[in-house]
Amino acid sequence: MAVQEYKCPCCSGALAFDSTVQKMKCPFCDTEFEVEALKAYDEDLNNEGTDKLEWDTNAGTQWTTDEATGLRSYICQSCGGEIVGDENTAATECPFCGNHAIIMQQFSGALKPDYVIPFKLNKEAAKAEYLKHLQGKFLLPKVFKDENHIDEIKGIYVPFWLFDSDADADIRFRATRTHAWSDSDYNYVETSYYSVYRAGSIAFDHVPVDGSTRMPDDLMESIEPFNFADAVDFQTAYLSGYFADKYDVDAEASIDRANTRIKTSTEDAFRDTVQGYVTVTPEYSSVRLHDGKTKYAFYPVWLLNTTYKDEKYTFAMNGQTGKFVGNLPTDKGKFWKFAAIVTAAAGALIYGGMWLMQLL
Amino acid sequence: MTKRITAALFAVILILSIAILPAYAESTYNYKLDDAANVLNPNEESQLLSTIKEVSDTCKCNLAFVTVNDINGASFSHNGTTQDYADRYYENEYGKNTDGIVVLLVLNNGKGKRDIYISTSGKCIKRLTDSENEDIRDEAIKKHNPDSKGYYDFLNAIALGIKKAVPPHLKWYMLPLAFLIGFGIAMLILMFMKKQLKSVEMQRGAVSYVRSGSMNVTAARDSYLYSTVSRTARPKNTGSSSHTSSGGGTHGGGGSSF
Repeated sequence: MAVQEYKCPCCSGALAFDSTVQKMKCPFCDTEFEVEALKAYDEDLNNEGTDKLEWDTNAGTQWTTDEATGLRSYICQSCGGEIVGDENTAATECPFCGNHAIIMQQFSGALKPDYVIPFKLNKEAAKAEYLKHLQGKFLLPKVFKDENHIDEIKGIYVPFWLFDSDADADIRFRATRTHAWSDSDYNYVETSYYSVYRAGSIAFDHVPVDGSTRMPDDLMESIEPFNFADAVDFQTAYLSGYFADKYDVDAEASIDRANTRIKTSTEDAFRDTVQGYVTVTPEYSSVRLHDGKTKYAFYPVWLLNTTYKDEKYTFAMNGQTGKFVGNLPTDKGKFWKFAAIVTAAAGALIYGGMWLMQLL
Repeated sequence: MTKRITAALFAVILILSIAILPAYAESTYNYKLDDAANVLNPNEESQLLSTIKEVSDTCKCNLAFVTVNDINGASFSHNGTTQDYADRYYENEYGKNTDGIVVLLVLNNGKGKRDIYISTSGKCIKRLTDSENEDIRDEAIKKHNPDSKGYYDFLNAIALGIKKAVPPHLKWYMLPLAFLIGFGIAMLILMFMKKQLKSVEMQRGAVSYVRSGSMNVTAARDSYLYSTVSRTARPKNTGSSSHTSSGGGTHGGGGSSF
């Protein structure tokens, strides 16, 4: 069996995770279930059907031609419609009946995430944040703000690699202090040079690196930080009602980015202990990581798309903290009009001020 | 927006006109040429006098050109310096702290040299800065032919220098400079507003993920290496200095011997 749905034990409707109550909720009969309880119930159900599932797996082998192109198709458990996703789609919704479907094939073996931070904010919160995001921005084209139609809005569990590491650092800085004085003819500046050495250790927990190529790295880093305190052990139940991708960049390939970030922050942290100087320039730095651990987690992200003048604009909201990001277009006409007006006004004011200084 | 800027421009024009109008309203300024040392012939005298009148009109201030053989035997009291003689001459002639300038040429300063002193009073203290005053004197001394007895060219150069320096004036590049600064301000504001539109960027580091209390500095050494000293010439004083005369009036100005 390729597609997993959680059926309501009361009415057999398809369940979805509700971010406001942090429970599974049946949209049909409004019954709420603890994720843990449902998981146990679902395991029992699955045990019944195991033999039957084996059959479907055999049928799946016919789609190997699709695999070559990266496309996958699945059969919806509710209406029998065909769901087409790509090789990384792990949770989606049926285009025919709208039921939430989790594609279990994607979670076989090593692909299962260790943790998940469940969605804390819903679609309405994302829409509200989007409108707030457009406020107070003078150079934003008025048309963009007035139309503000959202083409697409979806909650996605994005795969992240989490890196834990201890870092030992040896860093040497060249620092300067200045002392200024003057006599009647000259101003003097004495610059004193110092060699500043710092060594020590610092530790990092759960530094996330985006494991999906479909999510732009800068967009994903912009909605950070995620607070790992809310993370729970992964269960597929959390995915229902949302989309999910499995990773397509493995941990090995993500290490470089984690290293860069950890090294930069280590250097910054030790740089901050160098106080009382005018300039501080790193001369030499050695950062050694040890006891590094990698974890695989799903983090909640709301993704919004909109189109303006044939260009696509993508916005992202942290599904845990509500941090909303996304670049906006500039009204070029407004830009230059404002530049001209301010130049003229400020120029006239300054020139007037110059005359005033002469006259008074 | 446009309305507000029009209002701002209007305010500037208003302030400017308030500042300028009184200066034009007053029109009674005196001028004088007192050639006690007799260094000018009658022809030169009348020519210089008409120049002085013109300069006085242009600068809107009192203006006296005075030549004396020495500063002894004045009709007023002074403390014996060329500076005080000039200051007191002005006060005696036009009153304390009125707007005006006196140019004093002393043929014998008691040390075998000649003194030239330009004393300013009232608004003219600020209008004629120390450096402008010095430039005028230097220029006049350069124009003077040491062998000739005549001082017409010398005094005429001073009159023309005052005519150029005293009326409110700005150097030609001030206008483009003002608008360049204005453009800089506009760009600064726009860069700030453009930054508001950009919220997507890579994180610099991983500062949010530092395990709290995990930082441990095991070695810290700050060693002094060496020092360098650089010096730059101080910019010349661009303003005007002032002093109080023995008569109690405030004056600016300066003099040189040649």
